Amino acid sequence: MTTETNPRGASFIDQILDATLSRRRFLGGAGALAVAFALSPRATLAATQPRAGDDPAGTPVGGWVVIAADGTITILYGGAEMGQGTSTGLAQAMAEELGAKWSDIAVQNAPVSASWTTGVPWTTGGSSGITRHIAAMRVAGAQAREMLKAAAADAWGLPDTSALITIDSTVRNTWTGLSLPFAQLAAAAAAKPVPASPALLKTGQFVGVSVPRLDIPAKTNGSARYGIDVVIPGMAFAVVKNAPVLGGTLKATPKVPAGATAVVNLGNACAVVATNTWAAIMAAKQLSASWTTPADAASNGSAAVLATAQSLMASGAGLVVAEGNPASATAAMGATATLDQTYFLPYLAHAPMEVPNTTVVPTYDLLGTLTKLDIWASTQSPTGVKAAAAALVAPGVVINVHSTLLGGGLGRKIETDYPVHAVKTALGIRKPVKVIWPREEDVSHDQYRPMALSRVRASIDPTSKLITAWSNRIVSPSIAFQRGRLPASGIDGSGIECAAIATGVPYVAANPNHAVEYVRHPSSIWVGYWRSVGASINVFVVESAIDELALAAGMDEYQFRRTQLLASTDPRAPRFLAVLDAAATLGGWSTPVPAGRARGISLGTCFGSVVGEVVEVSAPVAGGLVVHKVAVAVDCGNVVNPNAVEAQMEGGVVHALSATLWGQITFTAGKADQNNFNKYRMLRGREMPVVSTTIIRSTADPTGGVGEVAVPGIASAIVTAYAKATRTARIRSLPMFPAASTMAG
Amino acid sequence: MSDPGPRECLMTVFALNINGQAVTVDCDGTTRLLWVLRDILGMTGTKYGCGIQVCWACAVLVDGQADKSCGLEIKEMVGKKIVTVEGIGATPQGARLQQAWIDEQVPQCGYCQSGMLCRATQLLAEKPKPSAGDAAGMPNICVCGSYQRVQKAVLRASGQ
Repeated sequence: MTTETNPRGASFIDQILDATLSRRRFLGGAGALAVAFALSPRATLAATQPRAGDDPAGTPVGGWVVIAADGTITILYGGAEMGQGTSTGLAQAMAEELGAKWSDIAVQNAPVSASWTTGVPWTTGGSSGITRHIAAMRVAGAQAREMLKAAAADAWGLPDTSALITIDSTVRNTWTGLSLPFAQLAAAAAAKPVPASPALLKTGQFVGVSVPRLDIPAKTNGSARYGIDVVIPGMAFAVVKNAPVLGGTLKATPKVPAGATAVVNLGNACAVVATNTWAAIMAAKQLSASWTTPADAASNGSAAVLATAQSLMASGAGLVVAEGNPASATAAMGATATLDQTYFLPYLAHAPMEVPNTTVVPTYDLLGTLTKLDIWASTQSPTGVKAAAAALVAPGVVINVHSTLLGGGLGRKIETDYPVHAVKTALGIRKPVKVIWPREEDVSHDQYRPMALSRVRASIDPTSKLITAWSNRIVSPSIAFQRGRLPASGIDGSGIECAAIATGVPYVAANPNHAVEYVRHPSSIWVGYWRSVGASINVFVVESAIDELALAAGMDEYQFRRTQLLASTDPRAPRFLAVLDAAATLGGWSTPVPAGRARGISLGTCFGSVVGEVVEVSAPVAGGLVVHKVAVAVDCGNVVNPNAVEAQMEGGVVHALSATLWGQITFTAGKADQNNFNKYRMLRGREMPVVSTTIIRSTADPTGGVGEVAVPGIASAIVTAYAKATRTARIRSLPMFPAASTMAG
Repeated sequence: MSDPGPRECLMTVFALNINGQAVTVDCDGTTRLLWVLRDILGMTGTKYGCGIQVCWACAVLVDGQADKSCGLEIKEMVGKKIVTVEGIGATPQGARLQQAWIDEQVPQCGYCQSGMLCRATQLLAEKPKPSAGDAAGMPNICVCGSYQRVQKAVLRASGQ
């Protein structure tokens, strides 16, 4: 495969696109097997799990296996590898069905282009990287296995494949003991028909085992290529300057500042183009642009947003009842509720380490008409990028989206705002260009985790200590509404996620006296899908209220939760109880607390998994907090890679701690007050607690996701432990330490 | 879009030593090392994180000291030995750290790890047996939260 030709005779760009990966390359080489096909609808449907709320919908796509002459087995996967280990996990399932040797396996993200698409969207969100794709990958691996066996049967003159197995990247004849390596069989296998429903072996050889992640070696030597690392010969470099006030637009295209080669009007922003990123950054500082100020700018200040939320909380104007019967719940509380408290959560930015960026190469014909766009986007949704790009160009323009590694996604990179900027910039200058959002633009123009004001009133029975009535009113902007997807019911699914019993912890079974009301906050500040989405808000509120009820009941927080779950008639209660017990055991809940320290506990769930967390903190100085330990128990059903699950628990804890302690985006008249890490503090190494994880090997089906589930339960546990350690009043408004939200280098 | 006209810029040729190789670049002398590496030399292992010298994603070694390349003017780099993540494997400390990073399965998204590894290379060069506190004290931000594994890997690489 050293002498490749370009069968389509297209422009130079075709020859540099996918230098390491192209379909024609594999198909064109003798001795290579390429299995590239759409999976049967049945297989794809089986891999789709229904999700609560309005999380971005997606349908799984099949995988491909490519066997090279040197024995390397390249597994192509759909979806985003943003550090969660999805690519390795999917390869584990594929390799297991294939009968491959692990050391032969390599992974590459398949491009979304005309020749590769199977007609279904690729989006990684809702902790679905593994769960949406794993069944499809198994089928794809099994199909390739059967094709290799058929080729071996021919080679040995056998009438069928009944005596053949695959093992260590060979087909073995169990009668003769002879073996043939996959690489020798690949060419013949490629000509075999693709079996529709191959048997799935599910040997457990790789799935459930902590195989080393395939993406890690390249991440230690600078060779891993993220979206921001894409290099196209001769490309320009651009940075985006967004309208300073959210919702503003350019009044006119600004003059090209010194040091820049062009300025492109993007409507809500402009792109400053130069010969390198530094020149573009410096030129952007000199930009003289005039922007419109939207009419609602004044109402998009933090004080105004809070005042509106308080007003809506009191009046209930526009509220919808999401669950239960609020009047019945109130009546059941009698004259005085055991608990009546209101909790506040701020807007949060995602701030993945790699800023939003996209590289676009436009191709024009001899008449100067656009014929093709090649897009390298650091994206969780290549399908979304493709659709967004298609809306900007004439029908018939070929659009290839090439996925790259993501330097973190966290929900930010499911959006298509930044790829749209890049496509518009490339079309504006008619040349290849890499377009990045500098960190200042990323933090100040994010699609933020919504703020929320949430009131819980609840009562317990003085004798049994069981919750007898619960009423939760949530005031929060709706992600779905801003995207025109709020259902006619007015109930935002992610807005009530984990507040409603069906998606939360089943402390009680559904009953009229457990009421949840949702009031949509009208602020136009952009909101989006932040790691764990609605759970990040509602688990804090519910678990805080549970801790407060435990205090009122005179009970230990762990025992109070056990008491509820033991009495709950919800069929899910035993699963949650097992997780709670495991967390308490791991966190040493029943052991003496070291002097000066205190513990907190929480239980949470999202995206099919259940997590229990025990934290241990101290407050050596006033206003300070040290988190010593976090114990995490997780039940995510079938486990694909335990070490990768542990990594996600550690990462979720860190992400949640940064948000709990310091995280907030505030606004002044439509402008974010924070725009970089110096004002948006992240946990650092010296603040890292010891995180221990126990994985409950349950057989819960479906398998749950793990990328987000560790996040939502941290805040309430920390708040409770802090109140206990300091003997101070409980904090009900996040972040805990807004005055410490800055950091230096 | 409008025609920019001729660009006013003070372009100068700078002779640099990067990963033991002599290279020359032709650019404005205030261009930051980060962007010279990434955009002019195509060495994309060094990452842009914040641009304000806070996050350390862009750290490289300058005469053995980890520093934030987003704040270093290229004209100040002449005569200095610059080592990036692409070059740390040539040092015994860097090579041990890279293996330890794999053994401990440190990176998640991996974006901050170039700077993390450069900073850790300096640590091991200065202190062959660092304490856990030394390892924890590295200032690099990792939004994925790999710190616990970073600390284990630093100790592993130092034979502890």
